[in-house]
Amino acid sequence: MTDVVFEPTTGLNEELARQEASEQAQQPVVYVPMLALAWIVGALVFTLLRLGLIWHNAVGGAELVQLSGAWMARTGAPDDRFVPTLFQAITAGLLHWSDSEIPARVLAYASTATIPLAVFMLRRYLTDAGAIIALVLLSLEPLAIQMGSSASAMGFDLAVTMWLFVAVVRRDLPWWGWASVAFAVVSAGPTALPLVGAALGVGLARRRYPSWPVAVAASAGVVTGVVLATFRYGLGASGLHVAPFQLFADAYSQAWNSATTFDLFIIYAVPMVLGGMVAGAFTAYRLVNDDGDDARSQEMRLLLVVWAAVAVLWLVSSFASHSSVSIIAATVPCALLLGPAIVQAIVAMTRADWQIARFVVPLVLFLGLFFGTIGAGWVHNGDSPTALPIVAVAVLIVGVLAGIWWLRTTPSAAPTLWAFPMVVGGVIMLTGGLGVAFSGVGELVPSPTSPQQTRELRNILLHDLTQSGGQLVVHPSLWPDLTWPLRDSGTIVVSSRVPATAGAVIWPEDAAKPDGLNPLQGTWNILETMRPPRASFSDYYEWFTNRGTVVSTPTQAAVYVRPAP
Amino acid sequence: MSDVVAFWFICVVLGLIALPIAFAFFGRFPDAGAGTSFALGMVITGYLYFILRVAHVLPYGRGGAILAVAILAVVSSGVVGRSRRFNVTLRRSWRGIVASLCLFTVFFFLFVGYRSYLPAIAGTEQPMDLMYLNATMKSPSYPPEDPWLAGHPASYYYFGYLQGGLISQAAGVPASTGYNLTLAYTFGAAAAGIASVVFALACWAMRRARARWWAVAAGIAIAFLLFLGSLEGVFELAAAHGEYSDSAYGAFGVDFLLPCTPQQVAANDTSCYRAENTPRTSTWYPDEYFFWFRASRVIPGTITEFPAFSFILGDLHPHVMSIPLVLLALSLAAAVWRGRRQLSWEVHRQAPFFGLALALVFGALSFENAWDILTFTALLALAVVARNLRHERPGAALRNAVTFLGPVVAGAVLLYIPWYIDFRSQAGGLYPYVGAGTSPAHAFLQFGVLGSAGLLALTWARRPMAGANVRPIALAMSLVPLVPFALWLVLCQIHGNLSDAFHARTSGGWVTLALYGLSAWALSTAAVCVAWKRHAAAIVPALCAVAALLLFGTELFVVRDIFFASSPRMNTVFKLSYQAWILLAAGGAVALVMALRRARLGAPAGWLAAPVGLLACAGLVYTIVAVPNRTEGFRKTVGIDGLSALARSDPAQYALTQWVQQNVPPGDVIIESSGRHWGRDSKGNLVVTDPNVDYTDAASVSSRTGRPIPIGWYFHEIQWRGDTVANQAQFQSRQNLEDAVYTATTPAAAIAAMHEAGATFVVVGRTEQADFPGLMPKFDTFLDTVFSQDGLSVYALPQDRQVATS
Repeated sequence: MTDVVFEPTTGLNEELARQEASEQAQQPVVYVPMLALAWIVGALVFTLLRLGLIWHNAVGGAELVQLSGAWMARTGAPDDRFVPTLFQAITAGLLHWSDSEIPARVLAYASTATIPLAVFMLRRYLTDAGAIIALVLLSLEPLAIQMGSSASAMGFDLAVTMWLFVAVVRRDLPWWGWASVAFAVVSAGPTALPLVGAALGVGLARRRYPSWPVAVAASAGVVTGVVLATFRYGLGASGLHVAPFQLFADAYSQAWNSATTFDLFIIYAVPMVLGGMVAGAFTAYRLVNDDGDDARSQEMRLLLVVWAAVAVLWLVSSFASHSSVSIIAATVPCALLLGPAIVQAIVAMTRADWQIARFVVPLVLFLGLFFGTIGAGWVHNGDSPTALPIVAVAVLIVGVLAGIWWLRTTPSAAPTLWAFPMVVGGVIMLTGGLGVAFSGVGELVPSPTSPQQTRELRNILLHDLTQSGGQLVVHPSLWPDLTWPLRDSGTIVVSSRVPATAGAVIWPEDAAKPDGLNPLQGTWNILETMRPPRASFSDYYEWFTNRGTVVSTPTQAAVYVRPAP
Repeated sequence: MSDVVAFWFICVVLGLIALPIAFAFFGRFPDAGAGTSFALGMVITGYLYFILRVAHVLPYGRGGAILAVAILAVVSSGVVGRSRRFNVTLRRSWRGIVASLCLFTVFFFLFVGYRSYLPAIAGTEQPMDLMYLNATMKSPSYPPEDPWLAGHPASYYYFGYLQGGLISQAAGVPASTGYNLTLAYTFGAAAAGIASVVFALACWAMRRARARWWAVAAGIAIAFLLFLGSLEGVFELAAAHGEYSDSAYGAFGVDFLLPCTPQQVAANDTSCYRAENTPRTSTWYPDEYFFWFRASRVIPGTITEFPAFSFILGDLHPHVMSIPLVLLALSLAAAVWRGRRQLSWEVHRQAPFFGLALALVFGALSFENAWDILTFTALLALAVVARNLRHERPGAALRNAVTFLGPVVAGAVLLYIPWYIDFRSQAGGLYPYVGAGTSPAHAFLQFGVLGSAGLLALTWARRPMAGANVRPIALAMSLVPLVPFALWLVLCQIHGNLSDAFHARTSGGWVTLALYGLSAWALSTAAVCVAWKRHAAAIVPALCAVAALLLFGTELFVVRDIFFASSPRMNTVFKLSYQAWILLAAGGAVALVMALRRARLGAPAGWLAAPVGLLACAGLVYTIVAVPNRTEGFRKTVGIDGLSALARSDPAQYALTQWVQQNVPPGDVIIESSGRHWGRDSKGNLVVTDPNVDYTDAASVSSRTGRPIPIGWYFHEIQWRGDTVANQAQFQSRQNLEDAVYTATTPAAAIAAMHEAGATFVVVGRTEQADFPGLMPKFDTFLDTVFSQDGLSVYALPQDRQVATS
């Protein structure tokens, strides 16, 4: 009889384990290490959280812009929205086969799904527990979840970034393998750029120069990528292109999200980035003071710290822009820093004195939850609080602070303080990650989105035109938002003046009615934009406690059709 | 305020990133070159941005600017890796680094504070400067297009604008704010740069002195460079308060400040002052509008600008923006001179990046302000020769210097080929100056302070000179003034005006010439004698000698340019005296402090420093009274955006400008009025009633947004591209094309003109309303109205295209 035994690996009750093993020595068993189980669970969480988005997520944000560019590239028309990354080139190819975004999303998902394996290969440097926690953090990062299953030009970015890090850290890649790595980096988006900069900077500063074969191979990869991008992967030359640089610049200048980068950072990424910065500071401190670790691990940690610093600098510089790319680029190294740091914090917590802390910590959390609930009530009801609730909340806050102060001043119990940022950060990450993963309507990514109604409008108009004749005319100001939903609609006239041959017209709502055309009854939304909560902390808190409070603002268009003769 | 902090932060980041590179060059400086790292970081990043934009590697926009900074960081990491002494240098010079950072910050924000009282980018040539700043930021292709001549690349030394634009983009600051902050950066970097080099010079020259003497020298240098003005300011103050003296004013050549006599009024004499009130001011400072401008026109027929004037005026001109770069070049020359082993071709083989960096910096001089390339490259050459002479005989020293400098010069040209291709120099050769010359009084007003400070080097040079072969050296150094004079004679003979040249020069002119020549001779003799004794102080009289030689040269030669017929020596005096000012600010400060120290030690000659110090105080009067005048007693509304005044005074025009900024794609041509006023004559024909275009509001939208127009300021384009028949015809044709849109009698004619100009948009702003009163067609009937507010509009050509979506 075969038994399945779950064997603890931490060495607890080793003697008991040996006894059990000797008793069962006669019977064949299958050992499933808990670590392996944890890895499997982590990988499943990572992959499953992204799976549903392939089908359920509305097309919006950077994906809407770049799918439009890919579609126009597929039709052979030059369009600045097509940025020649390898992923976008493949997307343009896939669009020959299907006019849906799904195949491209599947491709993005497939590449992102390799990340757990990449993290697994870093376990020697992050420790198993640290790597698993890092994987969980990456799983829950909302913006990375959204990007990992979207058909933007940066579909390969996350995978390329992680595998580049693996290649740099493990240094077991054959020299010719670097050609592929370099090609992958130069044909992807900008997410890997902070890592590239950090690796170059650290390598040069420490005189770690690549060997000649590696340098030649990498150069060949770069040149190949640039040449292919210059010729737009067979779609025609349009001047020298370095795709990651182009997208890096576009992240500043183009509006890939209705919320600013700062808004998105505050709403989704504060725990990861701030936690990563704290972890990075500790790591840097240990590096400076020579923690006695082996040289490879130290180099890996140095690279991680510099990578995170560069990425955070990019993030800070892009606060005023409308993109999530810099946030994602920062959360990846922060997660890798946080994973081991959280493990160390947990170890410190387990060694702390919980005699009184076991009451204080839950009490503080409860008091915090209590006044948070009261606050939520205020912001939702919009009431001005009266004196008694204010006093109550004040007492609660004093209680929370007193508890924290007591823990802080008790050296043996101080490590238990880590529980608070873990709980608060964890809650924020869970709500954000699960909200985005399950396409919550109250989430801010992606935004703006192209509603399904627009595609239905296209079907209605094409049907009418096949019967009544005439051309479909779109106003130039609406064309960028309508490129994707109007795909595969034959020849469209983009004009600021309604031609005589117009059979149906999609026009700005506030423009004058074109002569000779009748309005098509209905409310026609061509774009849905989520307004981020930014007016105040209470605005943000109201949304955090009830995602449904976020207002979706439709962009409406007026549709006119020529009456039947 | 966030814009100011962001801009400052980027400047500091660049300076810190460039520190390892500065360490590599300025290891012998007490601060290891920390004060020059701001300029060094700017130059390298600016070059990387320029060349990588030309190569289409870096994209347009803020991302490209930030990537350039990131590339600099990677380069700097490489320098750290190759430097074995980085940590040691960092530990040794951390105080200097902190001091440089503090100096830059203090002077940056000091200038921001001043400029915040007059942020408007208006008047003089400021719209032109804003246009170039926008060109470097907004041009979708590189080399950047000239917004005032659509379809043509910029033909000017715009590297300073490029650096300002780079920082503005990296900081996320609009050009209208970046303009003022670039001035602030220049002010701060100039302070830090001159402090760094002068501190080093003083340290070398006064090795046994306490460090506070070196710091005093650095402080005085900052004052000399950034705050010292013309002594004419003293007379302005006196005249404003009714303190006149015909003899004194006449003696110093400022009788134009004396009130006009009734006879002069009747004769419409402009060489006196028409004073309506006595005293002429109601405040302690002269409150006459723009009184301080006169200090830059002291010498008739020339411009005698100096840095304090430049910063008070606020024109973001190349000669102003290049001050930090010039100081960097000066520091490099000093560091090269101070180095140990001889310089030859071998150095390039062993340390190729050294020569490359020199080529990059000195090549940038031409790109940033072409007038600086010869002077400071000559300075570098002198430094190389002087260094080699310490190790070799003259023949070998010269030979090795040539083999070292040859590749540097070649590199300096090759690295900037993409710019040279489009640049059209208007210099038309070296000609002899035939004229009255500068009167000694005017020379004293402008250069009396710095000149006398520089001559103080002779008081303490006597001691190190003792024992040197003074006579043969003095004899040899007599060639310093004699050779240029001989060349002048030859050129006069060639041009057939030798007799005129002698007769035209007044006795005062001869005196000034002689004074400059003698100063150059004496200072160069002192420099060589001191160098002969291997004394590190030699560089001080050397710098002053070069400055004296420059001033001497302005009395003998002129560089032919577009103003040759009307004001032949205007630009020659302007640009070379500006360089002399910078050199004297550095050398004179050290010389003054050395004299002061010698006075403290009891040397009698050292007491000559006292009157020089008093003169210097008198020279500060100019700035002290000009600043409150310029800011109207600090009563104006505070801001740093150069368009904030426009936003308040004309919200519709501001809104129009912002609309164009945000909605017209960069590179798309717009139509604005050429600037010529139109009307109808008695027969009803359309005629130009006022052809004046330059220095007006013409082309203002293009200037403020960087969007190209067919032609901007006509005469400025002539200056940049040459006063040829072909250019005149082309530019006038473009003016006609622009105005044809506004004077068209049919829609077809207007659209045809737009098509011919390659334009997509037409602007009808205040300028157009003023230039075409009642003449414009009804654009809204045949063009799309894309912006309209309070009668101001922007129209666009209707769009109509077929798009295949299958």
